[in-house]
Amino acid sequence: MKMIGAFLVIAASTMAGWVYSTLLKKRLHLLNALVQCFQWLETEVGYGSVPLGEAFMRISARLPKEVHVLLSSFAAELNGTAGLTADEAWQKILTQNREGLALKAEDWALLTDFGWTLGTTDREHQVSAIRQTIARLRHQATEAEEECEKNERLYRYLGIAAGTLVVLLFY
Amino acid sequence: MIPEVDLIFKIAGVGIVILLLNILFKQAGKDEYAYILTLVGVVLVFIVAIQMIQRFFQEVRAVFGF
Repeated sequence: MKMIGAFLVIAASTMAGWVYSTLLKKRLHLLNALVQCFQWLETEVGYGSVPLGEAFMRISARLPKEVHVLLSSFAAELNGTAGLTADEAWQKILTQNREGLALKAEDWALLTDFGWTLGTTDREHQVSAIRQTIARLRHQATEAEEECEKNERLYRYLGIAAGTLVVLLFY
Repeated sequence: MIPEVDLIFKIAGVGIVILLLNILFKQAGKDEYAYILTLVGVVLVFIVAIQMIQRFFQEVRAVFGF
């Protein structure tokens, strides 16, 4: 009985460490996908002059699942009957998806900032806003990569060691 | 033998785990956490050891009849 309990404790804390380390990796992937997404958006808006809803629809088809959900629901909201402006729709989608994505508060702030420029200016200003967002996302991504490299192994081993410590103390 | 031998193993185990974690934190460049962790380890072991020491003093008092 005691053995089973000890095993469970170690397994649980190992899992916790593992989940935490994958969250770091997920954030990195997400940020890279977002950079890609905004680059495409720049092309669509700058050279294609495609309307926002259509542009987002087109881009979202080519992206990994999590970002795809974000963008396609935004496009659906824009084309929907609620009559929201681009900014309102963007903020609404962001608050809806806040729980599901492994992003940090800084990343959300960045995306929220982008929403304020969305659909309120002409094409040139829109493109420059997108470029600025890309630059900030890149900065965030390199930061995330550093953090990931540094802490991924740490969290994994920390989970195992913490479980072992608890078992040792209470056995 | 004395039944408290497993206590020694316990303390040794805690020491080993703390040592490993310490190396890990140092490698990750978080020296301040490594320091705090060592402190926590010392406190944990002391909590275990102090109970033993308390019992030892009680025995001594019992022997000399204070």
